[in-house]
Amino acid sequence: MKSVNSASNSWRSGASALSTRVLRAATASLALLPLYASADWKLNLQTPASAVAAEVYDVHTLITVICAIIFVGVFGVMFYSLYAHRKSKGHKAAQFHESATVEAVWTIIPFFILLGMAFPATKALLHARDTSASDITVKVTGYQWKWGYDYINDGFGFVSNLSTPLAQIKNAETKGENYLLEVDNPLVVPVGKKVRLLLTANDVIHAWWVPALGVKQDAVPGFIRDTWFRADRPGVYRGNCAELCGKEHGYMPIVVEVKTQADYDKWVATQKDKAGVGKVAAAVVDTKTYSRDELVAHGKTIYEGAGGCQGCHQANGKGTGAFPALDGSKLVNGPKDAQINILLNGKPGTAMAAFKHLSDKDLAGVMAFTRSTWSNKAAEFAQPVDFAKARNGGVLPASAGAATATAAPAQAPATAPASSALAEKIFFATGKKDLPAEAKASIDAALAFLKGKADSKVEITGYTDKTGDVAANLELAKERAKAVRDALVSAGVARERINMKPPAEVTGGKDNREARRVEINAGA
Amino acid sequence: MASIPHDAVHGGHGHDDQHDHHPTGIKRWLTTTNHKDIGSMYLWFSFTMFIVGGIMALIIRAELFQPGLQVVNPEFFNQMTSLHGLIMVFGAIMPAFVGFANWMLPLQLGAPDMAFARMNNWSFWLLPPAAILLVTSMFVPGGSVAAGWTMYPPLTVQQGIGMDLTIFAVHILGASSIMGSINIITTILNMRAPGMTLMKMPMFAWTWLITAFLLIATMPVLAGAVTMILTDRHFGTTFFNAAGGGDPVMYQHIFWFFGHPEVYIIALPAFGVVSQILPAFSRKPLFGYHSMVYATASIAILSFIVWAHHMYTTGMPLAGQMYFMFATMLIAVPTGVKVFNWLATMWRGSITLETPMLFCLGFLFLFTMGGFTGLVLSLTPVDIQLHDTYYVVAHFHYVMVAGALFSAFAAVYYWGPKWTGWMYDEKLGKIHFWWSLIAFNVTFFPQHFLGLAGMPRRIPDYNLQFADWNAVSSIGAFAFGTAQIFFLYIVIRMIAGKSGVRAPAKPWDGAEGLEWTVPSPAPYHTFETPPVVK
Repeated sequence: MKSVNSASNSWRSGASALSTRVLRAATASLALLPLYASADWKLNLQTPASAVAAEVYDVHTLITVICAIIFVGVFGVMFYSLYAHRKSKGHKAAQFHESATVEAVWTIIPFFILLGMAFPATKALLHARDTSASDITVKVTGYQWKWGYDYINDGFGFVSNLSTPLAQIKNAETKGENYLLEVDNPLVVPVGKKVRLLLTANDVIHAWWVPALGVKQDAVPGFIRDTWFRADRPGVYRGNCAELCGKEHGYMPIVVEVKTQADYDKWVATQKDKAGVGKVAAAVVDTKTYSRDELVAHGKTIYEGAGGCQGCHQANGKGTGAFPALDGSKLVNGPKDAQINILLNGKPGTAMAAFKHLSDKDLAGVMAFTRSTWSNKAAEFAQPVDFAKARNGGVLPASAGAATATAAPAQAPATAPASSALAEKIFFATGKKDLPAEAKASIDAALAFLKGKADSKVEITGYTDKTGDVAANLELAKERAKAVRDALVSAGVARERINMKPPAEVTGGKDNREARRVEINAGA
Repeated sequence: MASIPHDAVHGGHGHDDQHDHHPTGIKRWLTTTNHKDIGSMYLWFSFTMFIVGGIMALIIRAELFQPGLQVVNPEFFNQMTSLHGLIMVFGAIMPAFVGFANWMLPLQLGAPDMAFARMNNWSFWLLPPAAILLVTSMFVPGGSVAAGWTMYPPLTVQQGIGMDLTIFAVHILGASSIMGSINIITTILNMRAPGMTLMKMPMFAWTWLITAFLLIATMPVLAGAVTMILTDRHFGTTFFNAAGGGDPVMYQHIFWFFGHPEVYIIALPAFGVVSQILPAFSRKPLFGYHSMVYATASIAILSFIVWAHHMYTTGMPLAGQMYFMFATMLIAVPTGVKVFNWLATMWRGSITLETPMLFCLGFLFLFTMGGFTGLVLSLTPVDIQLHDTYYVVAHFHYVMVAGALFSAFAAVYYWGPKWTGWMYDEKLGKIHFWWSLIAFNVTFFPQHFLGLAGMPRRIPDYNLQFADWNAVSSIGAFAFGTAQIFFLYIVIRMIAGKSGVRAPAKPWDGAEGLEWTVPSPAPYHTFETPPVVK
């Protein structure tokens, strides 16, 4: 089996190398055409990266070759006849016009050729349709216009959006190699494992297609379909939605990242951690009251970015086609509860999906933005806590109180200097390790805490935001923690009373400003 | 019986062929019940829609010339792909062959006119309003249908009012087709000249008889499918909505139960035209007339039991996929019989290569290519990979353009002298052929490569790896488009008699059939006394 595979693989690469050479020569003169560095006059199916794709490749090659031979044979006869039986050459027409034998022969022989073709095709089909005994299962949901992936066995999931910048699509920037075939969060799977996909859709029919893996399956709203693949080797495989699903059908690519088992396990652990899988649910409710300007600024980024609002409702708020205008909309300028409901739950029977997966602050931001932009001037807007209540049947979730309580000492550190609790945060500027001026209050609070109890210790932990590369962030987090330690030491605190504690995860926090911090906590 | 409405309209003055007392100007065309007038109107209507649909195709190819968005936005792009398909199928190709049927069936059968002459008028005059609905739907709020010519829900439930206009247009076109079919069936079965048994009919009449039955069986199915979309959109039904107990995939089953026979509705009359022209220029009778008739009927019957091969990726039982694969492969047998019979017709003939013959040979070559890619696509595992890619786009353009359009051109050059009384310019006709053949292949052959490499259809923009073949394809498309303006020029020259060569009653020495026994141009009324066929 192995050797058969490798033989057909080398045949494939040999054939493609030959055809590439022939084509290069044939097309070298087409200098007028808009040539691109990564365009290479591809002629055949993509190099298979799974057994099913390889079988499809081989069936396709076999059938195409048989058809080509018959074609050449049949039209060889025709061209001979056109040459030899021309009136201009003085050929006199024969008058025969039927022959039962000949007609029977060319009815029966094709029938057997077809039987011969059906055999390998059926074998490949039986293999492709066998979804039993899978190793992992991922639920795939098609949305207008993005893909959702839920790792059912591991309890986390995420949404995968096109990441090609609009400027490239509008020809304002040079197009990258993976133009329109790149996403923010790819589907990640382990190599050599049977991955079963359960597919459905949220709005209209989509189709999940990755050519190199030999998988294409429609995702039908209201129904579950399944398919599977087993990737031969690690790598990144790219595909598109293959069923027309509306305006941005061409802009919902699929990227599958195939990792080694060890890398995959690491990735799953990080994802679980992010999603809080296995931890006690402690959703922190954002009870802060934001100013309207803060929300509008935040909402603008969500409207244009991660929320995907402007895809349908447009940057000018005028909507397009079946997608209604927000500019001048009664809903947007009306009572806030109606808009909160639609943002959270969508509008059934229309393309307006539920946006529950966005945070309360994101949704409040979008709402404030739509109510303050274009010609809209609604007086009313909502705070994140309004969304939290709406999610929870109109009452504030129980965890909100706890969050408020832990936030309290941070807001007023000076009022409880000798408390046994210490939870200080110092926020840093992007990429900087120098102590900001505001750090003094926190340093003082820590000094007061240490003075209050002779045997007490403090723990210092540094963090960074998500931008930049991981190794640099680890280093930066350490440097920030050192800066705080040095400030305490120079104020006369003994080294042994300061415990430098590495972070569980170096990035985190609700937003980037909060992420760039050093925490000082009471030590054991 | 059949001549009663005809006489009523013409007040019994239909004796003097060239000086008939019929209304003149626009009134003549609005009220005419003459099969030749109506045939001409069908053909001009069809050519107009061909140009409209062709402009849409060129907008598509202009956008796809380079990666990135340059010409149109994605929404308008989707409207173009959808309207291009609807207009070409329902507005250009189908009416063209109804036009040939109107002109030629009475002449070939020795009948004075079509069986239901007034209904004939009505079936034509339904077409312009339907075309207006389709084209003007681009200008209503939300634009025209942008969900593809197949109009799959739930996407079509999201569309604007343009979708409703399209649904009404489909209803009207369906009514027109059904009336036309009833007319054709009645004419063929009841109005043949004495002595012309069914098995002595010209092949064009046979293929149209079978096609008309396909139309009557499938057009109501399509009308039902789009009506269900209409009620889902406006009247609270949930035929295609799972939340209300429906199923979006059910639409696809209903649509393709119409859609697959539709492929043969387009192809069979084209087969008929080729079966007339190949013997004429080979100066030898059609080989295997009987097996041609049986093959045509087999293709028609098989076309009803293979519809779900358009739906391999929707998710169906394995047994379903296997059945539809085997049934689809079976169609290759009667189709092969037809191709072999045509070759045997030419074999040891005395062949000349006038323009109609060239277009028939082009048809044979390209249609067979489309047939082979169809065989590749019939294999379920391969189709799953190629479904909704440019490979499929290439495949059906080889079948539709090479199959139907090339044989339509052949028919115009072959019968045009009979209609106009003038020969066309042979040199220009040949230029038209070679220009079309080369441009067609430059346009569509590279699309096979694009589909294999992984380019989906119906997208306005693509990854850079697809850039080169798309550029080639777009250049071919513009060349193909201009070739058809050149065709219009050739036809107008023929009508105006610019070639200076008057057409004799039988301009092709190898041609057979009653249509060549009447003078050229064919008089306004023919065969008022039926000829006798021995």
